Amino acid sequence: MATLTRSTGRFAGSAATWIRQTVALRSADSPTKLRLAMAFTVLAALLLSIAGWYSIDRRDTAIDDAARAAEQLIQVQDVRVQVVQADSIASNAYLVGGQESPDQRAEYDSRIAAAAAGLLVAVQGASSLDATELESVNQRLAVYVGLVEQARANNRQGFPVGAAYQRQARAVASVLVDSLRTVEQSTRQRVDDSMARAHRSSWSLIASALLVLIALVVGSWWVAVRWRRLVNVPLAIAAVIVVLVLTVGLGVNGRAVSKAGDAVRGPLSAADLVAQARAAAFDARSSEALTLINRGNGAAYETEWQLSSSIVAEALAESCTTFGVGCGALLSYEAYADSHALVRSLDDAGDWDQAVELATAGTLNTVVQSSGSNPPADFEAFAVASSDELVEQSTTAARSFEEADAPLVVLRWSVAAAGLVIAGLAFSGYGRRLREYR
Amino acid sequence: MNTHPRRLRVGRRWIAVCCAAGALVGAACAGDATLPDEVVGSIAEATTTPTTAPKACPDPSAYASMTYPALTELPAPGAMPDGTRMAEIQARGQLVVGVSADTLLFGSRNTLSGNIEGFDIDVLKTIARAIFGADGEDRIVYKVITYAQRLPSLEAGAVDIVAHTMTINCNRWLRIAFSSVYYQAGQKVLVKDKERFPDVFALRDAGARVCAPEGSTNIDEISKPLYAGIIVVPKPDISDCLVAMQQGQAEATTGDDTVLAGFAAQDPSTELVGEAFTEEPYGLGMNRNDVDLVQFVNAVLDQARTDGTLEDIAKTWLVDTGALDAGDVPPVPEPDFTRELP
Repeated sequence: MATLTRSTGRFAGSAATWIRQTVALRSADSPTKLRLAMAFTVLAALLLSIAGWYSIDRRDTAIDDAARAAEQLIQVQDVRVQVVQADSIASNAYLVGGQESPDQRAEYDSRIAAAAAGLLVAVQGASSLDATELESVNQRLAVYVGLVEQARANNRQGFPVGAAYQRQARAVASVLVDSLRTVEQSTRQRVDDSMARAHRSSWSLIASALLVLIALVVGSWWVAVRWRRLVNVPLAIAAVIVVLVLTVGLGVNGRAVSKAGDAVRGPLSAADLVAQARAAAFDARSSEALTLINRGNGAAYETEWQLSSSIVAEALAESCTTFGVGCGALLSYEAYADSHALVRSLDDAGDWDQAVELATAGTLNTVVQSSGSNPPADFEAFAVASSDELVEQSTTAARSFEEADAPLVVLRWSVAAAGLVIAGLAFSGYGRRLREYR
Repeated sequence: MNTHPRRLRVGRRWIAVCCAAGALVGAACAGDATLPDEVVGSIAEATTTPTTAPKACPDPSAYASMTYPALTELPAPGAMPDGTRMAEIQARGQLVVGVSADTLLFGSRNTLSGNIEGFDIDVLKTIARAIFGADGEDRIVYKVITYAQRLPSLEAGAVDIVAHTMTINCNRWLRIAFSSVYYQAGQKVLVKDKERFPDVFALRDAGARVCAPEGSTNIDEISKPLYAGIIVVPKPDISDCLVAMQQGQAEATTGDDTVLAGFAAQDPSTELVGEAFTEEPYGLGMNRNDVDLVQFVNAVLDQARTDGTLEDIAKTWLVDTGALDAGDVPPVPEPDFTRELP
């Protein structure tokens, strides 16, 4: 109670002091008022210099963060695609047994090496939570490679236990891919959060600029009325500069955010869809091999194929209709899907040998050749088309972020400098009137 | 060694109790314990038909091996009698069979040729030749199935015959039909340390981890009180058990000696030890309504017994591959055609 009474007393005391000072200001002489107005305007201009710099820097940082997160998303997706592609090669190699070609083997090795290298890069650009997840992915990748090697070694010797190792490897790959999906999801969230931060970061520039503008307008009006001067030129120029800072600054700022937003909604989204389609497509190709490894009894893997295929079709259809990207890849995939249907019909009809030949080599008897089906070639066409699209969209997204970012560096220093110039002009404008009292 | 007969008697009592209960309430015995509703329904119905389903199994092993009489005269290849299941197969031009692709020596995929080969496959080729003639083996359509899919695939009519190291037992007769016994296997253990684990009882006494495939009669057997102390490591497929041993998750694997011989061939650091502690008579499985096909297959197998084909197949896959010494190959089992026709 005593504390409350003391607080109330202090508040009443402060209020009384403020009223006394206001009354004193009202009764102060003109030079004092001029000095106070000058001090307030100069301080407001310095505030604009600092707050403007800070505001634009925050926006610049937010766009940078979004660009880095976008780059990270593409990186993690690339790792996922590399792993799924490697698994697809391993599954198909298992199907041809000891006859795995050196080219296929080299391709598998290069995919695993790319995934491992990509993971190292991705860990560096990840949040601490994602980094932990990516480290577990790295460990699982090592386990996966070990299991595939065991499967290969047994397979080469004609030992059926290789199939058990292959199953284990696929199970490990599945967990690994799920972890990468989790990281992708959190990275997408990082892109969105950064963009939201970029949108929010203009308020301090606007508030400080408006404060300076009000100070200058009121000050100019007061000077014009009190000293019967139509225009105080320095104050008027300062006001114009503030207006320019506001309009140009907000314009450039807005364009930067808009361009970054366009990158997210455009090429980055397209790259995201194409990458998802690629991962699902390679998974489908693995499932196709597994339907044949489980000769005549691959219904479960065919269901997986259908599921993966629907993901490919949906992702590429959206990418094609929304962005005009991936249309060619979609056509190639549809051709592959038709070839796959022929593989399944051959296997289901009991022509396992021909189904395998069609799925692995694509060189079959004349009847099948006349159908124009060639799953490996059709799939390769899809792989190449989608890879080209992915590279192009990723590059475009990165370039858009860079372009969005670039003017902000100049703008940041320009606004800081403008604040200083306005402060100088305010000093000069009020200084002219003050000189009249000397 | 001298404890084995006692163990077998215990096993038979369990099977007898189980099958008697199964016949009375339509429930299934261990090994195929979970049945779909429609199958349980068909079993309940079957138990009321004395000719196709046993009311009880007073001597399960003997009863299980009883099959329908073989045809007295085999029709000529390519001339199956009208109205029979064999004629349907001949008209279709394909014999659809369910097999294993990872049981080395009995049914496994040759990784170089891609072909499925083994003891079971050669038996099927003999049947196919009897139906279609010389090109019969080219008309076989293989469907690779798991242990758990053997009975359902026959019940669903997805395959004509299953040859998948399948033990004939009383419970399975409630759901499908069997040919005569074509190979007499037994359950054994495969270990990595023969000195430490010379038999299944050494594993029990040491509290060792023993892997067995889920849903198999092998896991039921090793889970019996007689082997209490063993830590059972279940795996989806028997081949996962060899992986488990190689990865140090189990000290031993239990399964049919035929399958384990294939494992030993794939991993020289493992060895089959001890005597067989169950009897596992292998038969070809067919749909329980295909009685004529069972009789036909029995006639073909009988001929294969007589002309030495079965013996040759055993030699090719068990002796020539080095899996067993010639003296360890069990003799070709004698058929028992005393099951009454429905």
